[in-house]
Amino acid sequence: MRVTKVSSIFSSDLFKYTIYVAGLFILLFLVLECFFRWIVPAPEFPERALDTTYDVYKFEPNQEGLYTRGRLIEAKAEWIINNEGWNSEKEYVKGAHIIPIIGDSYVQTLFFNPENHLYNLFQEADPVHDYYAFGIQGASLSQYLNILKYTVTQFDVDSAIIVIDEKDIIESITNLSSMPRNMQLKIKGDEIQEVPPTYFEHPLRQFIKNFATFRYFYMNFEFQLDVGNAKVHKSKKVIKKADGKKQQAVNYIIDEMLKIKPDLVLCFILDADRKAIYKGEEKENSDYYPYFKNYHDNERVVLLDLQDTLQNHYQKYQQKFELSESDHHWNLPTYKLIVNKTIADFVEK
Amino acid sequence: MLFNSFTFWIFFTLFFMVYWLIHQKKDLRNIWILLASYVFYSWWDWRFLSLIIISTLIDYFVAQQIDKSTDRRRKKWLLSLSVIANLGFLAYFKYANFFIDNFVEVLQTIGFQANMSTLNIILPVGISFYTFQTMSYTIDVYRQKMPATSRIIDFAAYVSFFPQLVAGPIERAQRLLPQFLQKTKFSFRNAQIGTSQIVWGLFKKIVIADNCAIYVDQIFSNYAQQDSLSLILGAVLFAFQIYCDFSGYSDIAIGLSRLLGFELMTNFRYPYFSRDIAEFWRRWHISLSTWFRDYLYIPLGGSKNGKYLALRNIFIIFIVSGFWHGANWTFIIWGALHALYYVPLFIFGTNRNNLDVIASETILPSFKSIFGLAVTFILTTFAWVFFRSASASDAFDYISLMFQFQNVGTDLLIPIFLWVEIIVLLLIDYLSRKKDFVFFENQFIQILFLIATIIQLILFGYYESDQSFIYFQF
Repeated sequence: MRVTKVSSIFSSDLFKYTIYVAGLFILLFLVLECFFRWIVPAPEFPERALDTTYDVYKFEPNQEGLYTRGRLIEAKAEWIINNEGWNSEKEYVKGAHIIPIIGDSYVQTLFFNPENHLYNLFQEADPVHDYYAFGIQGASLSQYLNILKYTVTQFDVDSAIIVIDEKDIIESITNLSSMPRNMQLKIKGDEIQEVPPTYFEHPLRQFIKNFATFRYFYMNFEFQLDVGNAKVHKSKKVIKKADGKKQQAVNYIIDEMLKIKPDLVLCFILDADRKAIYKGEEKENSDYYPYFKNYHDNERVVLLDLQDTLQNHYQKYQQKFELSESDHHWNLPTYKLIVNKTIADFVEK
Repeated sequence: MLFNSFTFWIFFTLFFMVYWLIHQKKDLRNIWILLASYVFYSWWDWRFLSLIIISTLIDYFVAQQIDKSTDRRRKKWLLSLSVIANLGFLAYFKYANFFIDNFVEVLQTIGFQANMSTLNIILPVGISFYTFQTMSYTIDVYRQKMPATSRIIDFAAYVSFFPQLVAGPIERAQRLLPQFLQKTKFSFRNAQIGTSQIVWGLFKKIVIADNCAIYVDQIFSNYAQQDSLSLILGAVLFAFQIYCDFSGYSDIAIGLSRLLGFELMTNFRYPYFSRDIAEFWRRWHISLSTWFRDYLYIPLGGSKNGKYLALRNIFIIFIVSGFWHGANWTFIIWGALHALYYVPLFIFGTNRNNLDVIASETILPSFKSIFGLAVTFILTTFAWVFFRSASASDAFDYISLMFQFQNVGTDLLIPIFLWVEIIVLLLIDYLSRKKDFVFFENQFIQILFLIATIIQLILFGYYESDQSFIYFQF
């Protein structure tokens, strides 16, 4: 009796349909996989690695790949990870006149071909110095401290350009995105403790990254493939608590940066409040400036607040600064504008 | 919960699995359908669920009393009660402000100072659909075309059946209710066809309708600044938007029902392949046009009482059908315009000339058919301007600007992919013209069709926000 029942399930139309749908999905997946590999290539992302000597996240050295964005590939760029694990055509070696540019995805510029990378724009405008980019997506201001320590020790630099944007300050205290890839500060009263980054890449995430289909969906449909210890959004309460500690964190990080080398000079590029500019609100300073203003008179710190520059530029040309509506990274003309300002206000001085 | 949202597909997957686990127990199955349908509706606004429940209870009890009664006058009185209650809901929620506005305007025109403010009313989603569905049941019981059911759960499940609850097809009780009284059986072929209809419906909605909407909204909201060609393009794109939005919904609704073992009526039969307006109305929103035919046109006398009365009846059903869509003169003019298109065919007796499908015996249509098809498309597209415009004066202004031909060029950048997708739509519709649904008997071609359609959904679908369906507002 039981056997009959089981066999009737397997011969039923519902079972046949389940197989049909499952087969359809498998076939669809295979077709999509080929499609997103060869016809509309999905983005490739470089493998990450943790340099445990300096607690610095970078990429596995010597990789190459293609970055694409947009469902019909509105943007496409080649990336080349160099001998040191950074997105740069240049081989990084110790030498004189090196100026490191430290930052997150704004410095990593995976979305540009090498000729338009920030370090190359600097290089074109100032052939005297050697510009090295040290950008890694999702890095925070606290992580820049570790990167700076690494660049000073490895490349013996005397100055550095550090790009401050989006969530750099708050993420020095708490994670807003998924993976704890940054060194962070644990602040309790006046006591500040550095918490090193923990390497954790969930095996499922690693596995999924091998499939072009998933990478395509991840990039173009804003899917968050967060698994394991992922915490995508912190509650407002946690963010509010972290907000109160931002000034303390900035002071600590800059003081520690200045301690790395006695004659080290730092240039902070502070991104403007672009939304306010588009709305026509005239602001004297960017939102980051108040946290850095204590160092305004420090001769080893140069603050390049972009608020005024971008505001004037927008009023004159009415051109926005973003790559696209959905990608808030700076576009190429904005990068060029920033490079010219930095050379004039920092490098030449 | 929209068919084109991720939430809906999670909801449906869970529903589907439980449904086929319990389908053998008919009562339990209908309770499950009812519960799911109420959750589906409450997702939009739970407060208006009470309207469906009241409407269901009224028609359930009234139909029972009609069935039991032998007194003709009492039957009539009971039927009036149901019709008044259902149309009362519609009148209040959908038309109250229209009547207030027009009443005030008339008073002002004849010199009275009127001070009446409009009411702050939210239009419950799908009210025009489910009230017509319940009304048809009571009327059919009154006409003794079917007995009243004593099974309230089955009846409530019929009224609120979620695949077609908010935008049809408007099902007749005679056809759908018996399906709730029977056991359902899963049919592999039906499910295959259903899957095909769902995928094709999603393509129509997400790839064509929602992408057309971007440009249509741009053109219609700013028509005074547009050149003639842009205005023509706006009207043409709206013709495709409205067709794909509404027939896409119907396709998904029918496909989902097939997966559940239910058979819904065909609502669209490739209307843009019609060779005259009469054929267009045999292919466009069939469940509504046949509803008006059976419950309004025929009771008014249809075409039996001479040509003049028949003409009056034609105008009545077209205008009422326009008004059904919304409380605005634009819809009334749209309906009247279609009546004007239809009348010459009726007078010359050619309204039933094209009963068969285009190119029924050949691969390609004749030149005469193509000519008829083009004229019909131009006429319907012209009428759509009224349907889409915010007010009648806007529609007239739009049309006058459209025919001024001041600037022949257009600044609009309509992506090529959209035109290619419209051609794909027309091609697939043309190939399927002899069937009620898009489905290829050859399994290899069918799978190829499904995969190609899904790839188009991924590449060209519009997912920026949850785009609602146009017919939800009706």
